[in-house]
Amino acid sequence: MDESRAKTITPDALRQEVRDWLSSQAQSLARFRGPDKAATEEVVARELELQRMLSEAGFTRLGWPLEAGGLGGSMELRGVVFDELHSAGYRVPETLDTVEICGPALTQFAPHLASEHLLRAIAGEEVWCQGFSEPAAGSDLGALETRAVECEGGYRLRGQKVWASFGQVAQYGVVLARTGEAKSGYRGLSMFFVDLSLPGVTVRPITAANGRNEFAEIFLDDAEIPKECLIGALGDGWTIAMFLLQFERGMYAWTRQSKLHARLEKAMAATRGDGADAAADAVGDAYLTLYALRAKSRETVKRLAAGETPGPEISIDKVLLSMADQAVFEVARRLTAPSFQLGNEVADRAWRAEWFYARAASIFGGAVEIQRDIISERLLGLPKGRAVGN
Amino acid sequence: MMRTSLRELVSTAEPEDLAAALQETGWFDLLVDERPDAVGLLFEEHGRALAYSRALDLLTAESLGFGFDAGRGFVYPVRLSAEVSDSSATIEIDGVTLGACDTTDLLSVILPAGNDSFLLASVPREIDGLVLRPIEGFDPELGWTAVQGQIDSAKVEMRSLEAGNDAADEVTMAMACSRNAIAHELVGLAEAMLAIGIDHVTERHQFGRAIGTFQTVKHRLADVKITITAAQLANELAWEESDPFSSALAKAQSGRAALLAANHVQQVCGAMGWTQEHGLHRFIRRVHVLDTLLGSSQAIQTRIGRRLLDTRSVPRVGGF
Repeated sequence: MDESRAKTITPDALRQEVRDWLSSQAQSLARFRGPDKAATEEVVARELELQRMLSEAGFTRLGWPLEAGGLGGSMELRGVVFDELHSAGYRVPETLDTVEICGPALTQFAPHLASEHLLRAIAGEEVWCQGFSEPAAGSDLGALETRAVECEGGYRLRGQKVWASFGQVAQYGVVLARTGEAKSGYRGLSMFFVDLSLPGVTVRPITAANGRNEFAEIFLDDAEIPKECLIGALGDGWTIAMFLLQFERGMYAWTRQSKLHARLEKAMAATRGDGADAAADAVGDAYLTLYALRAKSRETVKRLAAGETPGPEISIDKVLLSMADQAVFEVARRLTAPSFQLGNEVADRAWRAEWFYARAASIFGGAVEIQRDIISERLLGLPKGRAVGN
Repeated sequence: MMRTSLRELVSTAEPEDLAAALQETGWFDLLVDERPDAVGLLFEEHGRALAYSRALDLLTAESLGFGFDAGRGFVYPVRLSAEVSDSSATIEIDGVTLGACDTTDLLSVILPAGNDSFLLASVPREIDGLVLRPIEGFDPELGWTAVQGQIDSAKVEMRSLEAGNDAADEVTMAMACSRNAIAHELVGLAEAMLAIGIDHVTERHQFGRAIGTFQTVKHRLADVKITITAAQLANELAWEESDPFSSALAKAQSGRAALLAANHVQQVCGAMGWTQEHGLHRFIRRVHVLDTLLGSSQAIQTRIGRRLLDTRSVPRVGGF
């Protein structure tokens, strides 16, 4: 795969090429199939190797700008790659999700950072995380309190970030901080690309309800970062965050639905099922919900690839993502019972961890209640009901 | 532009004149020449305006290569479990025609044959075992006719069985197209109900504020919007993919959206929405009846689930 092919290759041709590559590499890729019982940190470390292979083959560099180490072409091509990987039973490294989510904000608003870091992140040479949420600012993100104050040569950051997926293994964090007045709300925010190894930065993993270290908290104790680490202009943090969220709803959701198809298939294979009506109905329901997500995230990726701005409509993608995630793992729980509840096998543990993770799908990245507020107010034009902020 | 003039026509014409009016204004030609767009528009507007016509018969006739003949009665199945196969000695018919159907001697009966495929039988109206009965049912406005019974397969002409697989595929593809049309009509109904709900919760005040400011009210309508969006995308994909499975998915998604809209909008419209005068009940009635045509969303859902479990595979429909 190279630049000239990236420009002309059709999705169908790419699909075939990915399949051919997967079968030619089947032996060395075997370790990236099936559930992995190791701790999150070990799994990530192992899968960085898969990231390197995918990047070397060129597949995950498709659709990224040439200046940032990409091969050009449409980002839809990566959608094909992720679909094929999951379809063939491989895990797509979850650290790639952060690249999909944060990468476009870098290429768009901080090309100098993108040209230095993007290819390294794609190839698994560095890991990024997102530092948006805070202990007192979850769904109400505009209330965040982490401060960034200008100092000689850059900015001094002070505050606490939380729920940063893969923060404990990341070298860099995309951090939203307040540069305006304390009461400046959405307007006084700026976005930074923070080197987590700098003095004054402490990262601690958080163990989730499923027993895995799904995320981390980041303490910023007067950490000084160079001024080149500002993404976009000072005070543009909220705009950039909203831009970035489109890609979280777009390509992240698309990758997730690919995985959910594979997991639903696996759950059915695990059943000693007799196709009883109740099971059939539950599977049909989950599939229809999953299909809704697939159709919607496909549309969003297509629109983003065409340079459009889907805007508040992405809240629909987010709700569908949580519905599909929960529908699939609920049906998996039913189909794999009672080993889901009682089994000690690696596969049983994996189902339980994933089921628990799906419970968070309606919480992380903006709880579905907030998404439904946005849909009803901004898409349906219903009157605002909140006492504050309007 | 096209939508505006069509909306005007569909919402003002008397039901018995609508088919003729659509024919006169060239809409039936558009259904043939501009299939996805014209079908989508026409049927969505039918839903929005609560209109009823035999446009579906026209589409079905056209797909099957019959040409439109007002006298021909198509019988659409309403129960997918009444399946036929090559070896069926008796054929169970459980369907409806879209009109009174008293001008024809021969009925074109569409029969479910499993896995979203269909067969077509020409059945004499007076055949033993067949009962035709005007439907009052949940939506008496429609004026449909129920066609039910067990008939001897030796006495009917099964077009597709005799003509081989190509003809069977033709019937199946024709029904995929008709399912798409019904899906569009269901989406039109859902959108009309959503608009009714939005108006009501914006205007109706309680506790000193519009009830649409309450989160629980808002979120019901947000969910309606989400399912409608999914249904619209499924309908687009059904035309793009052009296969029976994606049409089944489109019809199921649209049925789910319309049924959810019926429930949620009725709730947020409160006591007013529960009166005869308000008129919401007419949409609700239409949704429940239309959903049954060519298999209800519930029946399709269960069948999809069974198919997935039997084949142990999860189809990925629609990509890049």
